Amino acid sequence: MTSSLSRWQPGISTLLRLVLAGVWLYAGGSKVLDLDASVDSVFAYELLPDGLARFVGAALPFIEIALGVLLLIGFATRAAAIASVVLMAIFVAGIASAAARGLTIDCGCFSEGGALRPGEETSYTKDFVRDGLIAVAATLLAVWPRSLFALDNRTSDAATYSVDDDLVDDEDE
Amino acid sequence: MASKKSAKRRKSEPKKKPAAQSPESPPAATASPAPSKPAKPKKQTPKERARAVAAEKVAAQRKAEKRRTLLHRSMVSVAILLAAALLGYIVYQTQQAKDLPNPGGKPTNSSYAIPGVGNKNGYVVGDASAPVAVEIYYDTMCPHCADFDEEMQSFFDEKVAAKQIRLIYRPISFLSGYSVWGASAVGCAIDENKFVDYNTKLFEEQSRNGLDKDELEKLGADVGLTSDSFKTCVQDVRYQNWVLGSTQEARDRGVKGTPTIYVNGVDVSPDPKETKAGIDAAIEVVSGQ
Repeated sequence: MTSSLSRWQPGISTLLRLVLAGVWLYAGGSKVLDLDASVDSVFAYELLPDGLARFVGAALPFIEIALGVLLLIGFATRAAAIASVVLMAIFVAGIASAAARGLTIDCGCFSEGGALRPGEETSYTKDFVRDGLIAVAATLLAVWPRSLFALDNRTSDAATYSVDDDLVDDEDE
Repeated sequence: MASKKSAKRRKSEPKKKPAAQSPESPPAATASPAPSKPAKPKKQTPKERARAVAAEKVAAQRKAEKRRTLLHRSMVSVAILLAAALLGYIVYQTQQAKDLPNPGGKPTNSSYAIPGVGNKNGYVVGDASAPVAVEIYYDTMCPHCADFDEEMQSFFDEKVAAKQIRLIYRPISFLSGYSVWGASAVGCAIDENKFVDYNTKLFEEQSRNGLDKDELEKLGADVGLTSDSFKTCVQDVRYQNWVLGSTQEARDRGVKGTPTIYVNGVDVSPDPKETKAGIDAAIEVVSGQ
C-alpha cells in the first residue's frame, strides 16, 4: 500500500461497507414481505428443482438482510464481504444462464421477479453491470476490510482489523 | 476508540508506511510465558532488553488473539447467515396453506359434479357448429398459459366471431395443489356464467406460488362474482374431483405440460405464432372441403 492509499483506505472501506450494507438491506427488504413472490422469481430461472427453489426463494431475502446488518455494524467485515462476492457471482451466473437460454424474466434482484409479460424488455445487460460493480466493491472490501465505525474495531480482548496496530508506531514517535 | 485514533492520525502530516510490528519481532504465536528468551544481539541495557522482549511478547499475543477473534467472528457470521436462511424457510413454510390437495390425485368419486351444462372437462366458447375445435389445456398457475391467453385473445375473438373456430378451455392441475383450487374456482365461475372474465382475472393476478381460497374469492368479487353460491363453491372446492378427473384424462391423452393445444385433435405448438398458423391451416382445410 502506498502511504496515501493507506491513509484513505479506512474511509474508502467504510464507504464501500455502508453502500454494500444498503444494497443488501434494500435487496432483502424488497422481497422479505412477500416470500411467495421471492420463490416465484427463483422459479422463473427454471434452474432448481421445486423444493430447492422454494428454499432458496424463502432463504435469500433473510440472508441478504443478515448480510446487510453484518456489514452495517461492521461485524466480521471480511467474511461478509467474501459472502457478498460469492452471492453476486451466483446471481450473475444465474442471470447469464437465463439470458443464454433466452428466458425473458425479471432478475428479481431488487423486486418481485418472474416471467415478463409479452412486450416487456429484459434488462440483463443492466443487471450484469450493476451486479458486477457490486461484486467489485465487495472484493475491494474483502481485500481491505479495515474500516471506521465498525464493530470489528471494538472488542474486549483485541482489535481485529488492526486499526490500532497501525497507529502504535505513529503515536510512539 | 479506534476511530478516534485514526481520525487523529489523518489530521497529522503524512506518515511513513505504518509498520504492523517492529522489524525484529519474532513470528507470531510464540506467546510462551517466561521473559527469559535469548536476547537480541544488540547493545542494550538489561532494562531496555527486558522492555523490548516484553513489548514483543505483548505484540505477538495481541496478534494471536486478533487472529483468533477474527476466525471466531467469521464463524459466527457464517452461522448467522445459515440461521437466517433457515429462519426464512421456516417463515415461508408457516405462511403456506395447510390443506392443499394433491394435484395429481385421483377423484374420490367417479360420478363427480361438473360445472355448467354439458361442459364435460371443459368450457366451450363459440358456436358449437364451428368446424375447427381448438382445445386448450391449461393450468391457472402456469405463466406461459397466461401469456398464451393474452397473445391469442384478439385472434381468438376474430375467429370465434366468424364462427370458424370454437374454443374448449380445459383447466387442469399440473403444477400444485393451488392449481386444483384455481381450476375448481373456474368451475364455480362457469356456474355463474362468468368464465371468461374470471379466467382472465386469474391469469392477470397469477402467482407462481398459488392463490389461496380467500384470494380466489376476492378476485371473483373483482369481476362481479359476489354471490354466496360462488363463495361457498370456491371455499368448498366443489369441483376438486372434476379437476382431478380432467387432469387424469389429459394425462391419459398425452398432455405433458401446459398449455397444450389441440386443433381438431392434432397437437400444435403453444407458441402463439405456430398456434395461429396451425389454426389457419385447419380452417383452410375444412373450408376447402
